[in-house]
Amino acid sequence: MTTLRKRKPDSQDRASMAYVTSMLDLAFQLVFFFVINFDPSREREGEMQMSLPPKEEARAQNPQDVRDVPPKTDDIPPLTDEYKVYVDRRTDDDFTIRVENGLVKKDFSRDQKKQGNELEEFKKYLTEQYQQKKEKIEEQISDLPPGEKEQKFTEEIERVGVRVRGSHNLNWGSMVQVIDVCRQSGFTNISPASPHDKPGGDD
Amino acid sequence: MADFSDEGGNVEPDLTPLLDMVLQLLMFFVISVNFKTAHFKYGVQLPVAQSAMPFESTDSSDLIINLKPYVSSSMDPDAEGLSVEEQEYRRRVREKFSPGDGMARVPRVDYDMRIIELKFWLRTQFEFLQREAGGDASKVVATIILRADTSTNYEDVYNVMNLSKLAGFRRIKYGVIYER
Repeated sequence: MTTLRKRKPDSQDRASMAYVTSMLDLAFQLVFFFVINFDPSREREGEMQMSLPPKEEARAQNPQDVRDVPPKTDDIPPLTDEYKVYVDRRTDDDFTIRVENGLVKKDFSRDQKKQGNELEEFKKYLTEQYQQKKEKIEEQISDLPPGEKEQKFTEEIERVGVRVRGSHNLNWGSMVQVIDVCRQSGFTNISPASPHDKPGGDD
Repeated sequence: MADFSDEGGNVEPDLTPLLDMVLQLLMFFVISVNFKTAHFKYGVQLPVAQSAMPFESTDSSDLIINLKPYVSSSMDPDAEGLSVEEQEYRRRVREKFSPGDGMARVPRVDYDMRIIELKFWLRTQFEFLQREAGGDASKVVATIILRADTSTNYEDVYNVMNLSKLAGFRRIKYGVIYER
């Protein structure tokens, strides 16, 4: 049989209880503070890094803006190969994609009503392209010593760029979907370009 | 069976498990707290990206720009339950923006800016940071963190990128929701 023994707390017990109580008070206040500031919805917020528009894209839109051009900065090196990706809005969620690499042109679309999502096809196509470029560069630098090889590979693969142009009224969410696919396929040098359906926006 | 029949005096509750539990809760909240959220409250619905990364610790000089399109239905000044200040604010916004226009909001500025206003703000910020860096533009390390709503027109987002570059900034990050 268990009994809760009752005894008169001596001065040492009282001191330790007072210590625990004040600590508990403080801990409760801190917990309350953190509960108030806790926002689980923010936990999934992240970032996506991308190059700023290339140098030739940062052009003045009005004549009076010409003096705004900043001093020379460390712009990305010239590209040896470029994929131009054009994204056009169809509806809020649906869009079409056209990829141009030299003379090769491919069309894809994203249509939620249709069964097949061609965004997957677009990803597959870009992944194949990336693998081909990677193998070609690896072949070119195969004679270099191992240390230099890695550095040269990074330099060369950075010179294969993907430039993404959206129509002016395209949702930013759709644009991010396309850029996301480009990144997942392996490309690292991805930069947004000016809306292609605005005067002076296309090349 | 516990004998509570003794009269007089106090039963001493054991506070140790309670303290343990409170400290564990405290530890959980300390680990998961994110004080940067103060800058992030602007009703922006971020796009989703699988290739995104969790936010790296930002530099104190980084500039956060929130961007979303103006939607007239969400800015009705005559809606019920609004304070006088909120009604007045909504009227000002209605006069200033047309449907679809990009509305930019930055920390420490308590009104919505047009993209053209953002141009001057960015330039002023860069000049300030340049002065702080001893006049050397290449020593300005601040990054633009652009939190654009998923329904913002690409043209507005592009203009903000372009203006950031024109102002002198060299690095930009985009706020997204990341999925694994």
